Amino acid sequence: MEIIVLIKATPVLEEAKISEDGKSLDTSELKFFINETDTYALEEAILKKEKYGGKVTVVTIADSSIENDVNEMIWESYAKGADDGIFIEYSNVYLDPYAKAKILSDFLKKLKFDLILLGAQSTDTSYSLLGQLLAKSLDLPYTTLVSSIEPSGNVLRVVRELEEGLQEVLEIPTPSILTIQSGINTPRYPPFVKIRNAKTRPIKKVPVESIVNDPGQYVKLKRVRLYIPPSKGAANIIKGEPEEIAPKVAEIIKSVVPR
Amino acid sequence: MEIVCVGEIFNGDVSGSTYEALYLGNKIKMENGGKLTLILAGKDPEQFSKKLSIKGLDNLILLSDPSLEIYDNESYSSAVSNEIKEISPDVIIVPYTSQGMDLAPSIAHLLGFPIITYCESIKFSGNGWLATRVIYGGKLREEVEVEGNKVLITIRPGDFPPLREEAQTNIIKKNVSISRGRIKPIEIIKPALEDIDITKFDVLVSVGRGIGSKENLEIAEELAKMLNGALSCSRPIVDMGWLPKTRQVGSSAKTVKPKVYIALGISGATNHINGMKNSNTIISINKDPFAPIFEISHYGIVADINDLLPLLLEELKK
Repeated sequence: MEIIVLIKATPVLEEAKISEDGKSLDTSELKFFINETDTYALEEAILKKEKYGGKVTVVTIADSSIENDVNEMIWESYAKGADDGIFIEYSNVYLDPYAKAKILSDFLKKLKFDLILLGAQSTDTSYSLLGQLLAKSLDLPYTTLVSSIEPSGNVLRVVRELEEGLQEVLEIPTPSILTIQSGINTPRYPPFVKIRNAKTRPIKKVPVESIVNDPGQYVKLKRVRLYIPPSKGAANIIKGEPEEIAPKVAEIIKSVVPR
Repeated sequence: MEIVCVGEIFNGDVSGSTYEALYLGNKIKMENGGKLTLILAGKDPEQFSKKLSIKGLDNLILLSDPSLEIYDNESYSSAVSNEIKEISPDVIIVPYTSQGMDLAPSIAHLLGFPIITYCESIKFSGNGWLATRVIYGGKLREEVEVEGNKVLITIRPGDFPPLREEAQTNIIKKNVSISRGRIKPIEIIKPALEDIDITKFDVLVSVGRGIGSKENLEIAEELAKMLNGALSCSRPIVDMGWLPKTRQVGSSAKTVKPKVYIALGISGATNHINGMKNSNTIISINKDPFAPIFEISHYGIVADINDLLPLLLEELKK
């Protein structure tokens, strides 16, 4: 199976800082890692390759200002078992899922693949749209929140996770696009030496302009403001050394727990 | 203004999120004037016509076809979109559920509507629609604008109250004939119930990613037992295989309302918060002072679970 995995570099955010334009996140002090559900999509692709043969290619679209973190993310994917890595670079432009779907569609339609996998949701902008929009653009069937994939004849037998523990079983032909839910597998941690060795392998850098002119023109969801919501915080905040606050917390628990 | 909500049937009944979508639809209607229509597709949706006769809802359109018994995005989007075209709405509201996440982009594509997912609120602003979205796990908000006067939005379960007051609604029943697309739905599997029911407990001790180790999980369980409560969790704990799915709290898992909810190392993703925010007393322990869980907590304790939990247990034993 030829599998393309779309991965996204997302930041670990404690205290957020907004840029002066009031529309973007100040990323200068942030570290970016592979998006959580994308790690499951990547693992699933590698498991399928190990079982059925084929090739795994990771593709990411990211701002060139976070190049180092993106490189690390792709090297780690190599160390896990990905064969090729493609980094579509842009700069000085905001891209929404529509613009990214347009870029990926133009880029991927020239490639041969059986399956495109990506995480069901990103921890940053949480649109859950890219896979679906890309499927529409490439005219491929898709489904979302996938918790199991098994080949069955010439189709895939796929399980989707619904609410309250229910699951739906369906059949979908290939090529198709599946968005992956966390928990579908247990992502591996590659040993350090494998990651170090992976760093000698090339990453294919593709400037976004070589795929589409002026990618910003495809943005439909214009971000006009980004802000930190006014915090009311917890009604009562307790801070301090653990030894000092443990008795206080115990008192609170005793006072509210029914006897 | 024409407003259309797309309802859903889940596990044999109309989903709770359907009524929440109606609430937002009715709110937009009251602000702007117009008509509110609900479209519900299924094998036999007529059985819900009485409970969906709701004050504020002008039209209820029930689309039935045997092929709509089990959901798939191709058949459903084709059936629903054909109907929506007739109405030519300004705004379409779809719940952001497992079905909505899958279905809404297909409907938007077929109708040529822009789609904004995961919205907290929406208003019309001269140029077009302006939506507020909750991003970065609740730490940030963004305002997103689409040009033009048409939009499809998806809303998060638990963000709005339900619209349920019974009244007369104009009911339109239609048999549609759907040709199956490329996806073939097979069956729905229900979970085997072999665990306690966390919705029945007065006290829940709930653990998240920040619990750190399995040893701490055992301490948390001891704490739960001591308080005559049960151990529950957020999604990452289930993903790691530390607790079964039956213990997961969230709007996509189990919605709980205990007297006391103690959140240990849970940051507070929207899905989790909407599954427990109506608990009587919420006590949260998290080392990240910016964790969104604190926003809805009555007591917020900024501390590392690893340090505090063993000491807390000793204190409670005294």
